[in-house]
Amino acid sequence: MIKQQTNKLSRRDFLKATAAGAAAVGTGAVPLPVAAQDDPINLIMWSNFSAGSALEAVDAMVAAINEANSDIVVEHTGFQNEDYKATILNTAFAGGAPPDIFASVGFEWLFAFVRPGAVLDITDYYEANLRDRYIPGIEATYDFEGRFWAVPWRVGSTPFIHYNLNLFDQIGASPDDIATVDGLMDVCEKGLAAGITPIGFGNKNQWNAVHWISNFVKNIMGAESANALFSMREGSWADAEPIEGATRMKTFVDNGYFGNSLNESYGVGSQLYWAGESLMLGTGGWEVSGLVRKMEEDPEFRGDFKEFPVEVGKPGLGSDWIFWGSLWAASASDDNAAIQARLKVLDAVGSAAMQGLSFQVRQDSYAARGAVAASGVEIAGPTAKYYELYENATALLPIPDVAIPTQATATMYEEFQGMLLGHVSVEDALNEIADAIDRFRPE
Amino acid sequence: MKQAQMSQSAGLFRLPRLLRTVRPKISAKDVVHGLMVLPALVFYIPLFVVPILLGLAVSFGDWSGVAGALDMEWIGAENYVELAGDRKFWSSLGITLRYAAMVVPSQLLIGLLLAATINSGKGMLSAGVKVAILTPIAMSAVAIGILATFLFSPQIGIPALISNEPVDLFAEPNGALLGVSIAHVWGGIGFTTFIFLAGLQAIPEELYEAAKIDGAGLMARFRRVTIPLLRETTIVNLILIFIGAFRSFGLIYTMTRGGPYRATEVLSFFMYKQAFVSFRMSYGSAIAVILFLIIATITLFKIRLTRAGTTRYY
Amino acid sequence: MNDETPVLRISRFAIFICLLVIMAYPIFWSIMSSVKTNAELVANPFSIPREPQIDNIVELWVEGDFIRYFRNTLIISLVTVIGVVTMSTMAGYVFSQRATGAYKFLFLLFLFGLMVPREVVIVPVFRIIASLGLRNTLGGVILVYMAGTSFGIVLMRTYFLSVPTELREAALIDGCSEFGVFFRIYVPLAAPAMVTVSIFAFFFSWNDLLWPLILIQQPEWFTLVQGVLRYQDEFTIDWSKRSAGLVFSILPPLIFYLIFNRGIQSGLTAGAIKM
Repeated sequence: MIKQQTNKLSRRDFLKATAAGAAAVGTGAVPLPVAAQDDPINLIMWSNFSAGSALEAVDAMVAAINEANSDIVVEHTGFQNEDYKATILNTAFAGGAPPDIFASVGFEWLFAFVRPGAVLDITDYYEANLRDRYIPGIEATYDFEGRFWAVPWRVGSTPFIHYNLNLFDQIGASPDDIATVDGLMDVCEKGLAAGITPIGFGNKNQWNAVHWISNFVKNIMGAESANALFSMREGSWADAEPIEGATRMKTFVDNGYFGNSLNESYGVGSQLYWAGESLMLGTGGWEVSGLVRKMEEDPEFRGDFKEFPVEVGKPGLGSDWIFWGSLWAASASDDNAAIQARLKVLDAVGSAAMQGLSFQVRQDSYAARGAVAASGVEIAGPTAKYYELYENATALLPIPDVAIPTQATATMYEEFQGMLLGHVSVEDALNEIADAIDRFRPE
Repeated sequence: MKQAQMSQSAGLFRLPRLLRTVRPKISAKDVVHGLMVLPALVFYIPLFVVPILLGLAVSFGDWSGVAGALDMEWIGAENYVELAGDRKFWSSLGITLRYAAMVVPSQLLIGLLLAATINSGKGMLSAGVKVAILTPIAMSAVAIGILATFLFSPQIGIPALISNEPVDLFAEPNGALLGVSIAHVWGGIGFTTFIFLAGLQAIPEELYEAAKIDGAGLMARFRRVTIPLLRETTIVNLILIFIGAFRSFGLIYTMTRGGPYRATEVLSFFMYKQAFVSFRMSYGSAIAVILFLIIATITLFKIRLTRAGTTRYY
Repeated sequence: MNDETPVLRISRFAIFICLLVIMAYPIFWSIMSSVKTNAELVANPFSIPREPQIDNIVELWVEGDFIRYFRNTLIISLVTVIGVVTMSTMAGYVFSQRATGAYKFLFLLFLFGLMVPREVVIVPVFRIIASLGLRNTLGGVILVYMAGTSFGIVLMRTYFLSVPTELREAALIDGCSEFGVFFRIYVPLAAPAMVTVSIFAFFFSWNDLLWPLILIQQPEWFTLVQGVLRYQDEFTIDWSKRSAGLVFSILPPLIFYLIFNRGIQSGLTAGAIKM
């Protein structure tokens, strides 16, 4: 029986949590060198968390930060993801009037703002106060040319496969079968024979396939070479091994393992799994909380997850994780008081206390170690498995969009989806990606 | 009052003789006309003309569109040179032309048939249809796009209604372009029909009567009277629809985002993606300049054409 | 025409009915969808709602601040309409009287406004509005809309060109000033075209998403369309709530259109053909 204390938060719990978080900050859990201000400084904070529990999680944090600090007032606005990424934030920066604090979705994306000097360099503060809070490997996502530009908020692992045990029983498959890629393909075939979509996988937003292809490529190349490729230190996407990895993904599509979900949004694809209509859901750690919720609502549903399968006879994924996540950064400023206020907010959102608070609302991920303990949420069932992995991790490995120039990531996303939908050949797609990376590779 | 009466020739202000000989005369009418154009200019120049010129300037530089535009590096016509060799640019141009090829003939033909049908009918139903076909002009492209997405959705749309294994129109390159085209024609058909209706109503009834006396049937009259006299209206309509197809952005943005793959990435969307998604504002601006040149050429062609014509529609 | 055959009449009737269905159905459908629960919408997308409920609507208006969005949108639209129609009528009049030299150049300048994709001007316009301190104000958005006079000017000019010059000459002989001629003779005659310009300015300012998205980031000043978009999230699609929002954003201009459709019909064709 899975039990979780604050799975569904009432408004009252929510306020209580907010107050508790405020107390945690206020009582000196996060000591800060900020000069006293007569008038509170207003800070505009933007993110792509515009609805649902992600918005609640940010709001909980912001309320607690405002409660605990009389000298600053943070105002948060969340925007619909695509508009935020492709129009709103760029325009604000380009027009010289960016928000004080902003969320970065995707990683290399942040550096597009760092390059022209629009982001606050927090290196000194980070080294002195923040570094020890996070898993070392995570730094790759906000380390640009040796300087630090952001704090991580929610990060998690992606190479997981969720599976439906009832359907596995029905087709005579076992979770052990999907430890290898060949085994996974056998299970998919059994599903197809039984008329069940093997894997719910929506890639209309184009990021989902990047994670899977990264997994296949890592399987074939080994973690070290793959990491060198992803961060453009050596190799090219047009090399034989990435092509082999991408071809593996293409085989899954051609065999019908993703059913008709490939051109659907991520939500529609995963809905197949939650509705008990697909054997598996190929995705990351953030769905673990969904699993807990689903099993509470529907005791008949038996789901679980395991790590992404390995290729027999190949180096495999290694013990490090590929991950997703989001960061908070501040815009650059010449004004010392403004800089101090921004650092104060970054410190807070990057703290275990605040991340524990948002964890109470949305139990999928966090970045500061100890956030789960600070949240007071009792971890059990599938979640325990996930967080044990996380708290004990020693390093995280990047997915490609950590390092590939923003001008080229759009090409990568688009070409992968085009290749999977059969509009362009695997070789052409990877050549196109390699060309784009070469063209925009920093000197 | 007397002064004003004179204003056309004499001028309100009596300037010294010497000045009058060196300067063009400024009449009261000039002053009034100047003041009447001024308000529109006060908004239009700084908020449209200046930004356009800045956009033109940016297209000759290398700006990401993120920050620091003022110290942008000038690279001359490099963006345009790159554009000429960019496969994606040419494929976008091709897609735009294919989109126009789907939209233009269908909107033109359907519009003509509707106009002829409405023109021949009388009474409530005909009036009701006239109202109904123009309703989309009250809606934004975003709203039309959302509605079309609903109705073509394989989960809850018409495909789900007619088949157990519903097709996802937007998964197929041609299907997606077709879907957007249908929404485009739906939104624009009223306008086209109305222009045809105005053209039809300008045809003197006597011509039909004369043709009837000559023994021409309904189809013969349509062919011999209506079609030739509608020639100019048809060309105007053709150009308007063409421009509409070339400028289309909102529908693509809402319905397909240029996908699947690049199947619906028309020029305007290609520009948007380069400028804002790929952080290449300068390159995007160069695309915008090309798009502008295409549309401007067509528009100027139309102006010349309508000026040459003698028919009045009102 | 007396030689119409029954076949012709019946087929015309059939075409009319089909047309009515094609044009009206999507709108009718979205209204129906807005009073269904999401579950019912997904299960029976095309049926009449079994148990109509107004939860979606209540949520938008009561919990979702729609009253405020409605107010903001209304203010923006009203000011825009008044400004645009006034400026377009005046400038359109002048361009109908003058077609040489600087005026010809200025008219062409306005004409270019109809050809330039507005996505190009986003960043410079943002800069100007921000430097005026007008971000997160309705005034900033209104200023941008006030620059959108091209269509109105072209349409008004066309309309004024059709006014017989005898009227003008008679008025001048009667001692009318130039402005008097415009105001007493031309403006009353141009009422239908002014209605058309107003309506288009209204439709545009009501429906536009791009400028509010870029210029307004405080929910307090959001417009209706921005409000509708607030209720979407990458992972979930709540079709019924989306339809409810959609209905509210399209109904006011639709009602407006139905009231003024005659004026729109006549003004529209005149302006478009002869620009």
